[in-house]
Amino acid sequence: MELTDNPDGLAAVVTARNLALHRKLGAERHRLRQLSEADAHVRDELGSGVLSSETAAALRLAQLPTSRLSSSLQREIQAGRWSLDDTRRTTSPSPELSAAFSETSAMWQQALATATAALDSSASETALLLDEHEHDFTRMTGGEQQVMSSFALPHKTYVGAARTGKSTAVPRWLGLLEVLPEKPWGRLPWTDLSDRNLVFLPDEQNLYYWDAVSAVQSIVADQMSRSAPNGLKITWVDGMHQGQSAGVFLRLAENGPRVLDGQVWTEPSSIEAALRRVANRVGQIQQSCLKDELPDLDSYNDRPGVPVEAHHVVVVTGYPHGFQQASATLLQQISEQSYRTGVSVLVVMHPMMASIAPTAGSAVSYYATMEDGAIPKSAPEWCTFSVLPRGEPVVGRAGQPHARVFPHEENVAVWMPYSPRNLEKADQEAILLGYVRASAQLVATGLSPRELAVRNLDPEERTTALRKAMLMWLHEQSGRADGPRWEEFLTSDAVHVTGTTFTADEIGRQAKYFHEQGLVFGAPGSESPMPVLTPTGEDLSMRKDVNAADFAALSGTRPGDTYNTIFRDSVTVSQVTVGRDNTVTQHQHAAAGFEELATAMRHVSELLPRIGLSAPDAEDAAEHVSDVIAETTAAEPDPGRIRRALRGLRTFLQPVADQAVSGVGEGAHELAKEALGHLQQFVS
Amino acid sequence: MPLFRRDQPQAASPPPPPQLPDNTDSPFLNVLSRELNAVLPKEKIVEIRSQLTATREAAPEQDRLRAFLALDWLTHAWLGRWCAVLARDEQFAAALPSLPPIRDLHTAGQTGDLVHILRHNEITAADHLAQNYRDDNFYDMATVSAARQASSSAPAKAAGSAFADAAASTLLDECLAARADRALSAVRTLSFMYCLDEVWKHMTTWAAGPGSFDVKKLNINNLAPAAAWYALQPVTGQLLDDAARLYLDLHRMR
Repeated sequence: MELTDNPDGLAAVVTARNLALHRKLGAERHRLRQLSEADAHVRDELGSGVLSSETAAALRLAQLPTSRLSSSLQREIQAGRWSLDDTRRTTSPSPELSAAFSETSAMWQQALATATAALDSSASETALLLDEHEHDFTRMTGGEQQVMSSFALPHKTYVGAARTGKSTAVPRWLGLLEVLPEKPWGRLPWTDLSDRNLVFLPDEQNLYYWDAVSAVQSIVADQMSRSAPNGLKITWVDGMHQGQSAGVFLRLAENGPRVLDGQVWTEPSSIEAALRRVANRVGQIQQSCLKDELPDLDSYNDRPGVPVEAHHVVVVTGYPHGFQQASATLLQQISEQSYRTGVSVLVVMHPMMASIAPTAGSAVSYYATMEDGAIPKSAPEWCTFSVLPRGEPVVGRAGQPHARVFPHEENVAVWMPYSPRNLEKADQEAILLGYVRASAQLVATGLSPRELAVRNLDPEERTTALRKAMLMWLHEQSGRADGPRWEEFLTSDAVHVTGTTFTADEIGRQAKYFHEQGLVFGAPGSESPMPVLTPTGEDLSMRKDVNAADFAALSGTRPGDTYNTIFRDSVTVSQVTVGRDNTVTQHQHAAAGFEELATAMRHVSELLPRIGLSAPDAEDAAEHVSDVIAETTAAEPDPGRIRRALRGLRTFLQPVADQAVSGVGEGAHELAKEALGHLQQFVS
Repeated sequence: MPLFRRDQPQAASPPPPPQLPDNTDSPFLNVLSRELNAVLPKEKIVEIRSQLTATREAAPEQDRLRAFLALDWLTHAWLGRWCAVLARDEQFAAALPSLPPIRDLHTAGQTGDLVHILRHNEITAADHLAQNYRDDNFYDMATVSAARQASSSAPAKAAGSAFADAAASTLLDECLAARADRALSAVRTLSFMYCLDEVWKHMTTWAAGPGSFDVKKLNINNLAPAAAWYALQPVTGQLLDDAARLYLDLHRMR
């Protein structure tokens, strides 16, 4: 693809050309200025028969041939009639020398006139050369030959509903770059794939703080307008104005708390906790999704049959207000790792931080370059360049925001005028509402109701989806030291993201099917053998395009190892045992009077895996849940045992709810609170 | 008739002053000799002459080399010595040795860029003069006049003009690129500032001495120029010795 086929490439090419033309023009202008400044002095000296080093330098700059004058002067010096020491020149120049001076003076005036004409010509030529790009520019911003898809152009309503299913890269409209401000057509869209970090540096003179906040709001709204339902998460930090910077996005706290990670974070401790959740998610995406195989999140999401991971926007306003060293370090780490993981960091610095990026002039008058900055003395002690968030600096200059462009085949970036999109509040609300509504209708995967209906009704589709999910889940668990259990699959994200609900009976049947088809075997001789993929199963689990026909093609059974597992279905608390005879049975409803506790424990058992406790804690917590359930289904439940188990369970949940432990999963704080809520009436 | 007539003695024509030879095959040496003859003491010329050997036919390449060496000495050693001794522009004197020797137009231009910096002294001197010396004050003007007189001829009396002209007679473009003319005027300015300070030390003594103002004026008008020139003599003496040695070296070049 040609560089000029996309806005970024075109901006780089035209900026480089503009710089080159202006450098040439600047050199000519500078030369003419020097000649003009020297003109009076040169004429005076040449007219008086004097040649000082300043005049000689001007003659060299004008590239005049001075051999005749030099020869004449040398002869005069040898004859003792001329000297470099101006106090010793007493005699008038000889006729030959006078003629040489006159000739040089005439050439000087001619050279000055030629340089003036050349500069005018170069200026006209520069304008004409830049006009060659008009067609390319207009193709980027509209018209019949529009290059960018209409989907990528700015919208005032939510248009991402069409992007159900896979969440590929989301184009994001950051604003307009004024690459050639003197041309009426000289603007280009500044876009990205929702993967760029921006750091606004308002100075309250050329770029106002609230204008920068407004630009960030518009960028987030723009990304949201194209995001697939549930394809965008937002973490908003405002330690300076108590959440005011979030504008209409504050409504997400009520209407879409999952989108906004609960609320806008304003206090130092909650800011750190929120950023730690983002950092954990970044780590999980890198370790679980990207590994060392995929370049970025969009590549992962493009793979068939994998759960879709949402993009994430982290907005920070008023930095470093509300930040401490730990939270600043977290933000810096997130910003460094954001590119691969679909996380975009948008920062609006406090105006005092403008000193970290002072600008200077460039070859083109309306471009700027960046100079070395300094951390303001009023910044916190921990605030050094090493902990600042990484991103594209947007700075104020000449009364306007300026954004960075790397000119093609040049090493030094330039900043050029940038017009952020200023989306009206009503439009932001419309986008927000559309996104929340669309997301509310969908499961976490973003599957449409139609797709869900098909999957729920079509037995083949449904069974294939379940088998694929089970195989993939088992493949992902292969590295676990404690070995996987099918009961964990039931409560895992893997079953959740298939977009439908499966009963324990279905899972049991498929577990049996895998065993019979030689895709899975357990450890022989063990009382509770763990399911392990056979080489055939391993191969199948890694295939992207496995379908019903692939499963049908499998033949033969592999009777052999027996395995036991326990499931809890999603309707009532019952136990499903896959016994040694490979039969699945459900039994043991809750005892009378313990139905509510049984239901609560079902909810808690669903929440536990999502809280992200450490492996030993998760195992102990699950054991407590199993103990309670065992008692609720016993003929004579033991209240003491139930009480002890519940208290034991609470010791794992309470620290997470209080945010007293680190390293737990995304949203763990809220999930733990929810789980404790279920237990509340049963624990004194 | 007198018995013994005393013959009227014939007026003996004085012997011609010793001169450095200025009619050789080398235009460079001819210019240099002619100008040094005007500034070197007679005894120094005699000393040089005693060490001169006959020159062979000079090749233009040899004169060019001589001219480069002369220009290099002028802008590095000669100018550097003035800056160092007059205790002004020590930074300039320190930066000079880092410059490459002048061997072509490019290296001459590099030296010229540094020499050009000395122009700021002219502005400084003008400001200093305007702020500290009043036109209507005799003592002030006597000091300025003496300093100007001494500094005006300092470049020539220290052999700088001789080497500048000799080099320019062969390498005019390189000399102008190295701003040899500015080197001379820079020394003029530096020595002027130096002379102002040195003469003023005596001026306060003279002004406070006994006698009428008219007598003081007479004395000061005689003494001040001598004091100014006396202040510069240590530098010019050294430089003339150096110039003599360099002349001999250039003369001996084959």
